[in-house]
Amino acid sequence: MSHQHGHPPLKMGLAIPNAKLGMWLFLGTEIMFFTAFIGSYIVLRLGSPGWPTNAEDTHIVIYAGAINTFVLICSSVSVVYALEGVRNKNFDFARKMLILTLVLACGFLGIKAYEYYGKFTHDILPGRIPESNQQALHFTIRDLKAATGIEEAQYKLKTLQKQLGERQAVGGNTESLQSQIEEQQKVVDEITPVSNKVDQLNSLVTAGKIKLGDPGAHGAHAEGEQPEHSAAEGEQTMVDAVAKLHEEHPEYFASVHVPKVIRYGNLFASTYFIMTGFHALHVIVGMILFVMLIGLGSKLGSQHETFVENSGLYWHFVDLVWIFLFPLIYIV
Amino acid sequence: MFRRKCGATYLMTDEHHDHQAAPYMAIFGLLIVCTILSALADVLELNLPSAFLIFIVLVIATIKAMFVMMFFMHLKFEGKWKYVILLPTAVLALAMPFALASDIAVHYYDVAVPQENTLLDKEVLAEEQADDHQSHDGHKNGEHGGSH
Amino acid sequence: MSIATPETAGAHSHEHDPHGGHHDIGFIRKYVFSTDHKIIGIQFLITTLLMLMVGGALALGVRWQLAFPWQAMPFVGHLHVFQGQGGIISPEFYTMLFTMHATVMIFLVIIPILAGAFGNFLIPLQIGADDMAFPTLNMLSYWFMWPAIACFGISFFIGGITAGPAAGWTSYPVLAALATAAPGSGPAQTFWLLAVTFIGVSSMMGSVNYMTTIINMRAPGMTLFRMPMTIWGMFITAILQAFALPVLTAAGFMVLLDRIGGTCFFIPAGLVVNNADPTIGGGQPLLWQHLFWFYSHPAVYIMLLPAMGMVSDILCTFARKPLFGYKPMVYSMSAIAGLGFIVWGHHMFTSGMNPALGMTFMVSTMMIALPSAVKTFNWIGTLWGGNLQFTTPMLNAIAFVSMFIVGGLSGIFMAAVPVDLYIHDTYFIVAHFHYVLFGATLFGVFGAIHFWFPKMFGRMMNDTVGKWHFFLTFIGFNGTFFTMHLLGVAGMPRRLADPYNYPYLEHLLPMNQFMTYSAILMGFAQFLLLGNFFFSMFWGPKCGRNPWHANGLEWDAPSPPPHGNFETVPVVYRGPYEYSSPESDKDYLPQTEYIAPHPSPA
Repeated sequence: MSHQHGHPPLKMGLAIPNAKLGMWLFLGTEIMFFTAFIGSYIVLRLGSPGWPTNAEDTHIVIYAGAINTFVLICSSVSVVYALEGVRNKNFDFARKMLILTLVLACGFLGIKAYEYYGKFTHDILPGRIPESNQQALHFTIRDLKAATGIEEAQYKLKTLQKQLGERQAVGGNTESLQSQIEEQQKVVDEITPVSNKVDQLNSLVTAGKIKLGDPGAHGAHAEGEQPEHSAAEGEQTMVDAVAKLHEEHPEYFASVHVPKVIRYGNLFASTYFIMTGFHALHVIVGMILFVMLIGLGSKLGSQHETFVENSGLYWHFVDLVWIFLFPLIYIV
Repeated sequence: MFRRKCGATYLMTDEHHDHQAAPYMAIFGLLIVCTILSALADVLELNLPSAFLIFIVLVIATIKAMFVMMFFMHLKFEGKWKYVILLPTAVLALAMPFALASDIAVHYYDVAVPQENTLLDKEVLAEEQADDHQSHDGHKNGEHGGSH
Repeated sequence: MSIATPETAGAHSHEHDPHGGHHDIGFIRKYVFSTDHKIIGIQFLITTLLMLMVGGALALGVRWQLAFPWQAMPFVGHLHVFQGQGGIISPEFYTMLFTMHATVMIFLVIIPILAGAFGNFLIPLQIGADDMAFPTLNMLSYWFMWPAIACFGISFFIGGITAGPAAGWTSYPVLAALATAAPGSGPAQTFWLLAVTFIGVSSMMGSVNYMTTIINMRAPGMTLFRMPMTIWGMFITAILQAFALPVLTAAGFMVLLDRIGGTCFFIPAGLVVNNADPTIGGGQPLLWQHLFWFYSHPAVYIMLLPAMGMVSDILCTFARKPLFGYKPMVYSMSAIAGLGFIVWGHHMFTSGMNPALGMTFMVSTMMIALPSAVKTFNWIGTLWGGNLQFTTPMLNAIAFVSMFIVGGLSGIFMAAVPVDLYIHDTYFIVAHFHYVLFGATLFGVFGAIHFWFPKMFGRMMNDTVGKWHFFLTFIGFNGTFFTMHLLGVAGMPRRLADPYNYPYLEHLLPMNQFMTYSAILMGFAQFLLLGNFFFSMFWGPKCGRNPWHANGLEWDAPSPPPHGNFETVPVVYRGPYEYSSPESDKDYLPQTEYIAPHPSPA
């Protein structure tokens, strides 16, 4: 311990505002946060025996990713000009730049939403992708069964009957309940033949007497999976069966499709959605910051310089994450 | 430690404006070029080895990131504290996937379904596979199977 | 990070005008949603002390089952909720008990009592700042703890009290990731994970705040190497927290999505659990263990380093001697933190991890013994030849050092892979971490409570009661936990509701009963602390600014310090450990006391 005599200087520490230092430290924690996701993605992908890279399967649109990169870079530039504007006391310009950034952020989210929409419509969602033909068969049966709504109808009927029993025990009025039960019974009776068809299909699946067939509409199969469109003559395929069901009962099954087999697709979807999802959340947080700044209107002034700078730093970080996500998800 | 640089920087921010504002558009152009390059690398199907392609696009991404950090985030003009905060973070962030990779990405064991893969089954399977297709890319485990 | 120029200071000072505008604010703003670091610290302290009692009660439940298996619990067994299982501890309930004991103690007691309570209270006072850098963020970090407590509470009750989260505090998948894996703990486990996320957010806000404050808000003259060890401990802890915790938060989100979102980060394909459908996926359960311990091993140091710092301060004050080897202490603390990032794998030696990694982690773990030993020797060196005053804080601080030696040494056993293969998941490891977490950290905390209580409330705690509390706790602690080493070497596994199913463990029952009696003694001794604490808060004898004749800046402020802390900005002329200095006629020399330079003898 030194015995330094004489009077020390007044200010200790770094010559940057606390808020800026705090923001940089926060960004450090954010780096580690995304490291966990990106690192997990890298090691899981390397550790997985395979990975779906076919854009037709995964609906990864490289153009959308590239455009989004472009959009984010533009917004980075606009936000840096906003800071310049505040520093040069050109607040009108700064506000315009902030609005431009906000618009670009909306654009980013819009393109992101378009990509997500593609994945949702093709059921490329974690936990919903069959990784083998057998799974695809089971999934189809599950979806068909759910589409009939038989289980809910039966459950409802049972509950009503139980209520009836309870009410009869007390000796209350049961007329309205009985009419409800009759109606519900009709519903169940209506569904039952349809659901029986599904059950028949199911028994075929369990007996192994039905093949998947080619879900066709979307082209080739995932690599590594032997496609079974060579189904022998006379052998039934699930694709045909579902098509038939579509024709017979469009009111029930219109939304049911035979899902496409994507090997290792669930792991792919899991990592894809967690990385892009949390990035999108950060985009939204950044937009909230910009909305707060724009909301200041003409009150935006030099006292907000640190705020603008910190929002900018945060926004650049969001951009940085995307700069790495783009090659890792879209290109590699 | 940082007396010289950081004190000066903070006071001089006003003077910095002129030559700080200048390169933004140039940086912007550079970033765009980089993005197009990495997109092209994928789209053109250059038939490069995939490891090389990955290396290229990651290098491009790193270059882009450096430019964003140096100029947009003004790190070029900051004091030495930037190294104290960012270098350890960068080291940690890089080291973690590497450390995990040695266990999660490289298997000395089998990742396949535990219940369907008793040791006996696996040996039988391995023999069958050896007959069928020897160097199928989807069977990375095969080469490690011997270590059991 | 040294001194900036005075001009910079001028440019800077408009950012926080410390003493302006402290109007009378209402009770709510002053004591509930307060932004004053001292109030927040005390809020943290009281909350965590209450949680300490909750965690202790859970531990006593565990001890009851191990000593008197399948016998009705005393008192609580008569409660209605336990009638379904006949008042005994069912295996599921036992699993939940130890899970929640660990969770409450780690996430709601030790981490917040060190960083939250003492970090908040001491950092601005010891570095001579008027408050934290971000007071509002500070308030939020306290109030983000309550959603976590609420979620933990919900996870207790959502499936009935006997079916809480039961995957252990480590929450390993697939047990934790599959809702079907642990029947009854379905939504409970989900809420548990949510709570951990809230804790993560709270700690992240706290740590960014601490780092900024320590770097940027030190009083004039408070160079880095004039900071008390407490501040160094808090600083390094904040760094660890800031860079390790986000990984756990991220992993928590992943396992949460595995439970409710259909993802498969940690779920392998085709796993059949409890006759449910085979799982769909391709993830790897080991990944969680890596991510979890990447945080949770540094967390072990998060739970220790601040206590190390506070104990260093206490030891110096009551040995009336400068700290032996100040800079080596700082460096070894940093070394512990740095090495702490690369040793996480020693928790996974038996997990099926790559053996090459096991070797690496064994070596790095052994290396941590070096800086730890440096610290231990320096503490003993500080005591050596000192004018020791055995006050309550001093007794607790000495207990810290001795218990840390025991806990540290048993750690080296487990660092070796071959030894660990035998004692992994036995009571030996339970003994080890209780010696470190309770024996070291909690005794350090007890010492710190008694030491800084006068500064918090301007009144003294009763020394006699304090000593009774110390001795009873110390005896109860060693009776409980030293015995665990023997159980562990005898091969008794942890987390087993009824070890006596196995004949080779039957003879351990009397030892377990002895431990339970000790644990009950220890548990009830804590009421002395609580009683002393709350009684002295209102009726303790008043004290001046510096009742211990200590050097730190905090003793320069009034007790309790007003909002804004110091009347004038303190100026620091030396380090905090100048006790018995020849330059002063007192046996202490406060950091703020200016001694005019005199020509040194040639």
